[in-house]
Order: sequence, then structure tokens, then C-alpha cells
Amino acid sequence: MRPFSFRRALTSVALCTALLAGQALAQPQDGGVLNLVAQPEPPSLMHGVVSHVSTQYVSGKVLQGLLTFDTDLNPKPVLAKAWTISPDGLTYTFDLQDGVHWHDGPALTADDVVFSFQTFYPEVDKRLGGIITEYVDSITAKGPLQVVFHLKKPFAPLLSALGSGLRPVVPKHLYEHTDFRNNPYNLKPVGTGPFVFVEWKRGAYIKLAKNPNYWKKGLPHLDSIIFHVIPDGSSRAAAFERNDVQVLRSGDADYADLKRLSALPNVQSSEKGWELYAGLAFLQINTRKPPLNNPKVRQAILYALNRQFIVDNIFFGSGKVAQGEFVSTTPYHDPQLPQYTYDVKKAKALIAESGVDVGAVRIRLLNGEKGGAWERLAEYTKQALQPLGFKVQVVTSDAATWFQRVSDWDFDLTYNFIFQIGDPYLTSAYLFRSDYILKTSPFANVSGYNSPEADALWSKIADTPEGPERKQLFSQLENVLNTDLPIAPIFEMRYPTLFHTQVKNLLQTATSLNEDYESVYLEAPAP
Amino acid sequence: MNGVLYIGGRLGKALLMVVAVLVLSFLLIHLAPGDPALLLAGEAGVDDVQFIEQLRQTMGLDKPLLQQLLIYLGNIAHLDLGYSYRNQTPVWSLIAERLPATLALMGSAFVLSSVLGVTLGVLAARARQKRHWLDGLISHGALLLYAMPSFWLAMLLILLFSVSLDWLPAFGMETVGRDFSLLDRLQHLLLPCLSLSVMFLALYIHLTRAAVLDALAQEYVRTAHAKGLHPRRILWVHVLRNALLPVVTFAGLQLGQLASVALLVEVVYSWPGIGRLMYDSLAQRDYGVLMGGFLVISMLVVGFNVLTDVLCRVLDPRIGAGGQG
Amino acid sequence: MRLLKRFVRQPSALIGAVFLLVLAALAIAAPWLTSSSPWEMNSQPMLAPFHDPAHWLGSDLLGRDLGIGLLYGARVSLAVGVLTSLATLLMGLLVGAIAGYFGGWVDGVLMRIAEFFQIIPQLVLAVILVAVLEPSLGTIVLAIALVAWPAVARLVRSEFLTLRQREFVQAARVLGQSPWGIISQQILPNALAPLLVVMTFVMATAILTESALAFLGLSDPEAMSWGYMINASRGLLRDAWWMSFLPGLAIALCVLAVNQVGEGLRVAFEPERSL
Repeated sequence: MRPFSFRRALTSVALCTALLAGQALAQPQDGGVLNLVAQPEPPSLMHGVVSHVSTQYVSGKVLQGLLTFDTDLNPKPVLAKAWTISPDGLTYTFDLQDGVHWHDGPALTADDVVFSFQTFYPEVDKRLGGIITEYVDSITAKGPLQVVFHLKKPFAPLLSALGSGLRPVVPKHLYEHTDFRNNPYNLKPVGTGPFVFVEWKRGAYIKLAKNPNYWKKGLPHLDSIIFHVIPDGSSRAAAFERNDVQVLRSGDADYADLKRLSALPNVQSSEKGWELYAGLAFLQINTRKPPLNNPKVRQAILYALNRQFIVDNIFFGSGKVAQGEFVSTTPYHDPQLPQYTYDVKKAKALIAESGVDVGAVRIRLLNGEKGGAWERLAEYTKQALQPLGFKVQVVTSDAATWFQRVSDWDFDLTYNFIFQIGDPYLTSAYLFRSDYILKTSPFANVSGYNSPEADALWSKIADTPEGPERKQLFSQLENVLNTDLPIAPIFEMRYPTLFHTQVKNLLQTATSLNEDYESVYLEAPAP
Repeated sequence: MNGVLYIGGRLGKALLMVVAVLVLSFLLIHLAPGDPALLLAGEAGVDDVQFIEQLRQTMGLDKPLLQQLLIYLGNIAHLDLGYSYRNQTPVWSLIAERLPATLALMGSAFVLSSVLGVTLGVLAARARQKRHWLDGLISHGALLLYAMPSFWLAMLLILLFSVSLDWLPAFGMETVGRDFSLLDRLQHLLLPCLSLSVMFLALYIHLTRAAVLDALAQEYVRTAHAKGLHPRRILWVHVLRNALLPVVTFAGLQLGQLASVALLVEVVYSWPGIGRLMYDSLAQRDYGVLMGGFLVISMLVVGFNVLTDVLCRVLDPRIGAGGQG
Repeated sequence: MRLLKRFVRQPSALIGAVFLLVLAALAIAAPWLTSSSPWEMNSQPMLAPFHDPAHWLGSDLLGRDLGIGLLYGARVSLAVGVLTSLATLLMGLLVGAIAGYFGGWVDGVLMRIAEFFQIIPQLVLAVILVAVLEPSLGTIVLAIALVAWPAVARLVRSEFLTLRQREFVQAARVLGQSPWGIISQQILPNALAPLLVVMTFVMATAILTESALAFLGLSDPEAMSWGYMINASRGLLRDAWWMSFLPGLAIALCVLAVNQVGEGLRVAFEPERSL
């Protein structure tokens, strides 16, 4: 026991008062600097042009989209105050917020929105461009604050495609008639958000400051946000531990370190706030290469992998064993789908059934340097496939080489992951559709999967409005994919966010960390 | 006039060396697998064949390699380091932004390791003469320091001084958002500088000790003693002056190594220097930045070598103009 | 024999040599000493040292035995050290001998090239080389040797320059011995002493460079090396410090031993200098 002191007595009195005034304490407090980590350092600060995770993280505070999604994936207003969809699904009308100004002065108008979706995105985002050409008839401004989309035929996932924080509204006055990809404002973004871009010192930090003229009065609470560039994982953990940074996103710290970090005093861990990014980690199989061209062999591989061990011991619980090609937390997954539960005997039986000598050729497992756990996963896979008779060789290549080799189909097996953002037709389809057997990106159909049956189902799905029929089609499709296994789903990714408890209101929507942080505040340290 | 001629010739050779570094690294980097256009398109989320082809054209990657090399060298001759498409910024401004951090790190580590190393080396040599235990302590200590992997040492230093003791910051070169303060900079510099210095400190100790012992055995030292000069004066002035020759030559040669180890230290301490810039650019196949980094580092090293050569001539006028290492 | 005596009389060199010999013996015998491969996941993950007699140095985050890993790591580190030294010796000898023997413009060109490799940031070059060629033991050895040979070449050359003028070489030349004969029979044996010393230095550098490459993620994915072990577990420095501390210590001890041997050899060869 310490001796009684007058100061301590005073503090306790103050504490009592504070407790009595508990209501007042829960009020958001203004001021303070929030320190975050930008990992890896973003290539540009305009997430309309570069769909890089770090870019979204940083520029999501500066630029805003029409709408966002709550944790149940229902659309919520941002720059669009309200919207209506005509009963035939052919007309979407968006009403914009009043009194919104770009950081450099001019007011946000319907023209900005029309420019964004009619001119800007079709050029910088070919996939969205393709959808707009196929489905959208016209985009017009009706008055300064209303935009109308006329569709040629119904397209169920349109709100997902326009909102989702990935497609901010672009300032027309700064981008019109410029080279969008090399526009100088990609490096010093001008938006409508609660934070204004201040400075980017490459290799060190990116600084944003409070937007004093933000269109929501009284917001934001924070004075500034600083994104630190810390390339080394253990240094990031150390910085978080010292409270030099207040938030670590999933992947910022080594998976193995999460348990210790979340047990630190005044630190909380939450898996909320990533609902829109339903990540799926999978084993990409080159179906052109014998013996991997045999579906039985591919099924045997999936049976031989102890995916629970992978989740528990390699990713330290940051995931859940995958139950199919579509993420199980989304309505597109069929809960009745047959499962590949870990079973080495069954795997061996399948190999025997296939009649293929799987040890005849060496299988190259391309390891793409995504970080420690992925490397461990490759090592585990090699060990796990040995009993089946496979001769697996792990080949490590740096990120750039991996990118090229997978794009060029120059691999046998490799691990990869995608975000199923909303409707699988907008993201997952490219892994399976035969018209995406391209040598352009690892996120195309590099497995070389070619199934007319699956292709037909994908097109049917696109043209079918939301409802039981569409759901039935998805279930049919997932069953086909789950038997053919051009990719072997491994686990659904969970994104535990670690934060010091003084940070409030952090995880509120389905894309929380990439949100604009208008309501985030720092609780002042107790007196 | 002889001196001017010598320095001129030396600079000419240095220029040739820089060009050689550029050519070799250019070929090596461009022959590496990995396609910057593909990566750039991937980051932008585009998988459109036409777009990628167009990107290659913009970046000049569709031309034959030799032609690309000639164009690059031509641009360099006009002091144009090129453009980083990934960072949407001229290469020069990227490098200029990072150079001060690297110079501060390498410079401080160089000063620390050489000054401390030479001093300890002389002390060890003198102790050796007197058969004092200090020699054993210093020279074995140096070997131990040399044997520790610098990145490992850096990790342990962070663990001890930043995380456990909470004395020093764990990353970066300044506390962002606060006004400039020299103390703050020094606090950030201390651990990286220490980690980088250790290996070179060991080398300087070793080299100086050997050189001083050599010099002490020379005739002129005995003469000086006979003349009744003060032993301390003999050691720190006459002997050291001679012993410094190999040390200075070595200092020139090891600058490249200092830059190498700096890369590891920059990674561990998130130090925003050139080494990390080059490492990131390698991962992204950002050819222009990588080449720019090579150019700057090799110019630094070569320039420093010219300097040490000249210094050697000053220290020891016996070395003729034709003398080469 | 006198040489050996002088070497053995230095306790630190002797300890270093014994350490290396024991390490080499253990490394060679590794497959017979242990029943499993270092990659086998045969225990509870992240076991602390001295908690389980079956895995007395503990296990890593996949449940792979750390002791076995360290043992196999010694194989990799020593193999990289020895192979790189040999490759370096070969390249250095060839270039140094040619330059030293022929002199003139040949010498000038070769020494420029050597200088080139000496001043270029070697680790950066090695990183690019290994990244380009894909990491494997072969490419790692090649990359390190390619940046390490100039030290050997310079040494051989300078020995040649001094020895060339000596009487016995002059005599051999008068007797009509071929250049290669003179190199291999007259000059080399005389240059052996300093060469051995430099080789230990190259070996130490090679072991350190391999670990640095592994730290940057560029290790042979099929070989369990000490550097790889550090890289794989450094994220867990706070939870399980031993997982990265022990391999680092192994590297430090191994390099220290190599350097002590080198120092001992130097003293043994040049007794007059060591007073």
C-alpha cells in the first residue's frame, strides 16, 4: 500500500465526479491525432484509379462514394441522400446531399456523378466499363442534385457496383480532359470527405487533416490522421504495442502475434467491419497440367489438406474452413453443398480410383511471397501431399515474378485469395468464366477451367433479378464448381482488427476501416 | 599540376565505373522475370490486354533491350533519370526525397564506426605492445561484434530499448506531426546508426590494430624514440599517420558494403532511405527508380573512393601518380 | 608442423577450430542423429525450450523441432560457407593469377572489373541476382561468390607481383617452365598462407550474407537454414524469443569460430608480425 497522498485523494474525487457524469463522458470528444499504418505503401492516393487495399484505406477518408453498406450489407447513404429503384428495375434515381463542397471550393453537383460513371470509370476500370456498356443505357443529371441511371435490362448487383466505397465520386473540374491515370491529383487527392490531404512523405508517412468545412456540421472529431509507413511486421507490432499507432489491420501484424497483441491492456480485437470484403483463400490448380487435369486428383488434394489445422496453426484462427466456392456468410452460398472434410484415406482412394500415377511428374507449388503465413502454408501443403505420392517442389519467387508466372499460367499449384465483394458475379466469376481464360492477371481464369455448363449458368445469373430463382441458379453453379474444383477453397478469411480502446466508433459499417472516419474519435486519457 | 592531372584521370575512371554499374544493373534488372506493365495493371485492377500493351508502349518496354539501354543512357547524359509510372512521379524527386535519410544514416554510422574503431584499434595495439589484457578484450570483442548478423542485432535492440525499456522510438526518422527537434531526430537515429555501425566498427578496429602494429615495428619509430620524442606523440601522430593509409583505402572500398547493410537496417527500422526505396522498387519492377538508386549509390561510392585516393596521396606523398590499388 | 603448434598455442583459435569441427560432424551426421526431417510437424507448436524431453530446444510455430532445424541449418550454413569459399577461390585465383602473371593491360582491365564488384553494393546485387534466378542453394552460392571474388583476386595478384620478381620464379622461367607450371608449382604454394586467411573471411561473409538474403525472404525453400528460421519466426520475437534468438546465436557463434580460426591462421603464418 502506498501512503495516502493529497493528490491521490483529489484524483479519486475527480473520478467520482466523472462517474456521476458518465453520460457526459460517452459524448464524442473532439481533437487528437489518430495514428494508423499504411502497409504496403500505396502506389497512389486515388482509389478510383488504383484498387489497392492501402489506397482505399487512405483515400477513403478524403474521397466519398454515393453509398456504403452496413454490417448486414444493406445500402446506406453517403453522398446520395436517397435513391429509388423503379419496379421494373430499369431506372435508378439518386438524390445528392445538399451543401457538399470539394476541398478546393466548388460544390458537388450531379455533373460530377455523371462524369464519374459515364466517362471516368468506364475508362479506368474495364470490368465496370463492360458492365456499363452492357446494361446501362444512359446516365443523366436531372437538376443539380439528382442523377438518373436508365438500364437496358435489369442488373441486380448495380448498387454493389456503384457503391461499396470502391468507386468514389470524382471531381469533374480536376479530372475532365486529363489523363486519368496520371492526373497529378491522384497523388494529392481532392474529395468531399471529412479529411483533407496535407502531405505525403514517401517511405515515411501520409498526413490528413480535419476538413473544417465538412458538409456534416460538427464532424469530424479528429484533428488529423497520420498513416505511418512501416514495412517490417515485427516493427509494426512494436509500434502498436507502444501505442505509437492505435490500429492494426488484419495482416499488419504476424498472424501468430495476434493473440499476444490482443491481450495487451487497453487493446481490443474485433472481426467486425469487413463484411463487404468476404475473402476466400484458395489453392489455384492449373487444370491443364497432368495429373491435375483429372478432377478426382483435384478432389483428393482437397481431402488431404487439414484445413482446420491450416486455420488454427498457420493463420492462428483468422479464418474459418471454407465450405464452398462462394463465401458461407453471403446469401449466395448453398448450405447443403457436399463438404470435403479432411480424410487422407478417402484422398488415397480417389487417387487409386483415378488410376493416375501422381508421382510421375514433379508438381511445382509456386510460393508468391505474400508473407510469413503463406510461406508456411506452402510448406505445409508440400508435407500434406507427400503421403498421396505427390512430388511437390516449393518454388519461391518474389511478388513480381509470381504475378507474371501466374498470369502466364506458368505454375502447377499456387495459393491466392480474392475478395467476394457483394455479388459473386462482380468478383468471383472471373476465376471461372471461360471468356476470362486470359494471360493478363492472376485474378483471371488462370486455372484454364472451361465448362460450358458453368458458363451458361453465369450468364443466366446475370440476367435474373434478385429472388429465389437466382438463388437456385447460384446453388446449381456452386455444385458444379465444387465437383470440378478448378480452385480448391481453403478458408474464408477473417480480419481481426486490433485497436487501442481509446479509439471509438471505428468499426461501424461493412467496410469500416476504409470508411471516411467522420465519427471516429479518441477518448481523452483518464485524468 | 601533377595532382590536378591525377585527380582528373581518377575522375574519368570513376565516370567509366558508374557507366559500367548502370549497364550491368540495367541488363540484370530487365532480364529478370516480372513485367512492370502487368503489375501496374494488376494494381489498378485492370486485366485488359490492350491496356497492358499500351502501358508497355508508354513505358518504352516494347522496344528491343539494347535500344532501351541506349535510350536510358542518353537520358542519363541529359540528367534525366526517367519517370516512375508506379509512383506517378519523376524518379529524381523520389530519390531526392529519400537521399537525406540515407545520408544521415550512412554518414553517422561511418563517423561513429571509423572514429571509434580507429581509437580502439590504436588502444588495442598499444595494449598489445605492453602485453595488457585490454588488447584481448578489444580484439575478441571486435570479432564477436563482426559475427552478429546486423538485422538480428537490430531486432534485439528494438526489443530491448524500444519495447521493453521504452527509451527510444521503434520506427521512422522523426515523430510525425511534431515540430522539428534535433533531439527527436537523434533519438530516432541512435538505434539504426548503432545497428549499422557494429560490423564496420569491428572491421576498423581490426584493421587499425594491425596497421599500427606494423607501423610500430618500423625503423623510424625506433629512431623517433632514440631522438627522445614523447611516446604518446610518436603513437598518435607519427605512427597513426602511417597506419591510417590502409584504413582510409579500406574506408573507400567498404562504402558499398555500408550501403548494403544500410538496406537491412532501413527495413527493420522503417527508415525512409534509398535502400528501402530500391528494395520496394525491385518488388514492383519499377525499373527507373531501381536504376536511379544504383546510379546515386554508385556515384556516392565512386566519388568517395576518389576522395580517399586523394586523401591517401596527401597522407603519403610517396605514392606515385601511377599507383593503383 | 611448427605451423600447427603455433596455431594450437592460441586458445581462442583452438576453441574456434574445435567448435567448427564438432559442428561439421553434427551437420554431416544430422540424418543419422535424428529420425525425422526438419520440416516434419511432429510436436505441439511453439513449445518452449526445456519443456519436452523429446524436443528439448522447443518447436516452431508449425510444431517443427527447433533442435533438428538448427542441426540441419548448420548443414546449410556450412555448405554455403564452404561452397562459396571454393567458388570464390576458383574465380579469384583465375583472375588474380592471370592479372598478376601477365600484368600490363590484362591486369588493368581485370583489376577494373574487380574494383567494380568491390564498390558496387554487394548485398543489393546479390538480392537482385537471387531474385532473378529464383532462390536455391546454387543461385545463392553463385550470387555471393560473384560479389566476393575480388578480395581473393587482389590478394593473389599482389602475391604474384611480389613473387614474380623473386629468384626462384625467375629461375623457373629461365629453365623454360610454362606459365601455368610456374603458377601452380612455384607461386601458388607460396601464396597459400594469406589465401587461407582470406578464405576464412570469405566463408564468414558468405554465412552472414546467406542469412541476410533469407531475412529478406530469399532463401532456398527446400533448405532449412538459420536465416530462414529467423525470418520465419521474427514476427514472434515477443511471444517466443528463442525461435529467432537461437538461430541468430548459432550464426553468430559459427561466424565467430570461423573468424577465430582465420585470426589464428594469420598469427600462425606470420609469427614475426604478431610479436
